[in-house]
Amino acid sequence: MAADPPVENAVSWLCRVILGGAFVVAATFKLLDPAAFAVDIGHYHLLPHPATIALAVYLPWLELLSGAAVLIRRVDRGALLILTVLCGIFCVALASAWIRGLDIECGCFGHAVATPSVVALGRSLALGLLALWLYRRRRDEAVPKPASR
Amino acid sequence: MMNPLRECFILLTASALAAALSLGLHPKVAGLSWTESSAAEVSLEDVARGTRPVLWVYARPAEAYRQSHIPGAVSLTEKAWEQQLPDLLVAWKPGTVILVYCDSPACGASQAVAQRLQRELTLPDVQVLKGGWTSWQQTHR
Repeated sequence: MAADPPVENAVSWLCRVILGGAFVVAATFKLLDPAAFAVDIGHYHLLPHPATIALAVYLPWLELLSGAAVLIRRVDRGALLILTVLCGIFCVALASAWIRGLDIECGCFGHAVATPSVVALGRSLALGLLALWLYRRRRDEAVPKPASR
Repeated sequence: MMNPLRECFILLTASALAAALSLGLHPKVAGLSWTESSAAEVSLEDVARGTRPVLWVYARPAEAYRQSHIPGAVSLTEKAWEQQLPDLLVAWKPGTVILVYCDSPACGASQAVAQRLQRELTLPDVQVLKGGWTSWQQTHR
């Protein structure tokens, strides 16, 4: 049975606040200390050093703008697509660190929140699914409904 | 309504512009080094050959430190940095080499602590023990 539109809208609004808010907060911590974020990325041993620095400078802005776009519902379909892809990349990076036995901070929220890799992996997966669900819902809203007689 | 891919392009471009601006304007971004600056790694054999005094720093949580550590080592982790740093500064003497270690060759905590010591305290001789606590235990059975 489909949920009532007001209930569904309220759930969708809550999901937007959680997803957008999480990325805005995470980006803010990283923007405050990009050097620490660069060190965190370096611990994954996945990228050469210059790419690590470039990512440490670029990624927080992408997270901030995409998170804000989801919150204010402007260019939000693109933002939801970006956040879905980002969460997928985070999951792959965290899983690879976990498989290689790396004992590292995930760096997801800067150094403000220390999270074990498995918990961070679950959180990235949950946020990615949330972004994907919101994107599909938003895409369906954009399809014109047939006129009723 | 705008195409989602077009929206992606707008966000990716806006982020690139903001990042490029921050390279010039953000004081902490401007200070980032584009060349590798990881702490040098040394083996236990290198340490045994050295003539300078060594201050061991265990970069694992306090619980692991309480269970066992290299004699004379101090505990320093990124999580408890502010609380533990004074102990390190009391133990450190000029001319001492700081050797940071964690559990195994795969752990990254020792490199993180060593780099932070180099970055924030500009200490001249901070190194990381290759193989960490595992290699120490294998050598001192």
